Amino acid sequence: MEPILDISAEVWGQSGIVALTWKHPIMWAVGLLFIYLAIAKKYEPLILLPIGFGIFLVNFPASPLMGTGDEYPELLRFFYQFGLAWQILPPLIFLGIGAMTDFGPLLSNPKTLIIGGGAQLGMPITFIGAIMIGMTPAEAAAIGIIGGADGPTTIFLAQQVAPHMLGAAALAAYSYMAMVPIIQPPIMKLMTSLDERRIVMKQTRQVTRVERIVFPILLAGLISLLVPAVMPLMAMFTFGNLMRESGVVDRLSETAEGALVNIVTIFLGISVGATMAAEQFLTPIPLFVLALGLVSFAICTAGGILTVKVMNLFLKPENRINPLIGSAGVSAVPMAARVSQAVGAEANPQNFLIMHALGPNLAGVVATATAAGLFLALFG
Amino acid sequence: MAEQVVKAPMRARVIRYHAQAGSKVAENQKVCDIEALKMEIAVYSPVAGTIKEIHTEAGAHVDADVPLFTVET
Repeated sequence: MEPILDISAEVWGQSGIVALTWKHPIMWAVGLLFIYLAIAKKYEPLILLPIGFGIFLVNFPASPLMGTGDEYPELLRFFYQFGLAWQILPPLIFLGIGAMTDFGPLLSNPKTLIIGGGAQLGMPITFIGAIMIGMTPAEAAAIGIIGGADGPTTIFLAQQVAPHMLGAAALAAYSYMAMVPIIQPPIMKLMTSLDERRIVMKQTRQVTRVERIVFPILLAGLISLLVPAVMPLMAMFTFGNLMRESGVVDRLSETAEGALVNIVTIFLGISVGATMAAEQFLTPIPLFVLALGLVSFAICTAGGILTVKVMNLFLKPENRINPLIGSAGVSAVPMAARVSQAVGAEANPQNFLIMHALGPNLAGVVATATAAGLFLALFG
Repeated sequence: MAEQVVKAPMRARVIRYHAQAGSKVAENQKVCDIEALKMEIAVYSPVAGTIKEIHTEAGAHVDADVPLFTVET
């Protein structure tokens, strides 16, 4: 009888049940919430579904998934180590984004670069605010960058300056990207008059093929000189874009923007989710990250609109810019541009802002990455 | 009688028309839906009048400035 009891006790001891604490069911609920949002609400499902399932999986403490193992790291730790800690996956995502991106709207109206810069206003403000409430400068940087609403850039920066915040920062960035159509319109309407929302902008000019090819090369050179710390992201981004615009390596650019980015997204999502074990995640820090990230995002939205309003003071009346495209200066492409279109069409059904809004939207991607480079140079 | 040609504001796919040649339309009445950047965008009649001609079919891909429909006032 005794051996049977011993075996039973051993099986029980090695089961996943004894190691459970009250924290784990809470984290299951967090994981399941993001799975629900991805499936039922279609909130960024490509990334929130893998993140949600990653959170769920790592909160069964006896499962050999995220430990360092005796000889080799366990499975998800392996993905995390080689994908995120070694900074491989976010740049590969940027390779795909570069191959997807048509910079035509930005090149046809380069003024919109200024708007993309202005829409990063939330970062320095939130950065200072976070330090004032007791965060370290590196933690404050990881929170501030969320305002740009760029998932891969947020992950890239947070992993290097504040890895304990990686999961929360990534969740915040992707959640706010998904909630752009809910968060931005009230701010846009509050900050603009009906007359401003009705401004019809001039048709953008056609961009030549040479301009499209030269742009990624110039951008790579410029960022390498000015903000080299962010080149792992921007090198891949500009390379992807050059492949696209060259027109001679369609097979490569199609792979980069299709199969490759899909494969990378799977591993990025589940690895980010796997960083959110109850012991690390159930602290007040993620709440700060989510709340301050939202503040940063709201101020970035307002910053883009304000930038346009200031620019309009110096432009001839016929060249005025509709301030609604300012909010697209955050880098959630193309959701933020779609929101500019939708809010603009409410005020004037004859107005088509989406192509104009893509200019600051693309500039926002570059500006957010540049801001990450500056933070990295300071705190990396 | 004046005519106004409404053109595609950007490269897009025409999803559907809500009117046909001969239909009476009011100002700001939706005449067709186009899709760009995975977003459905309505194209409205700029004036009240009659649709004189529909220039493309549903499903067609159009570049910017390609005529979509003509309204006669």
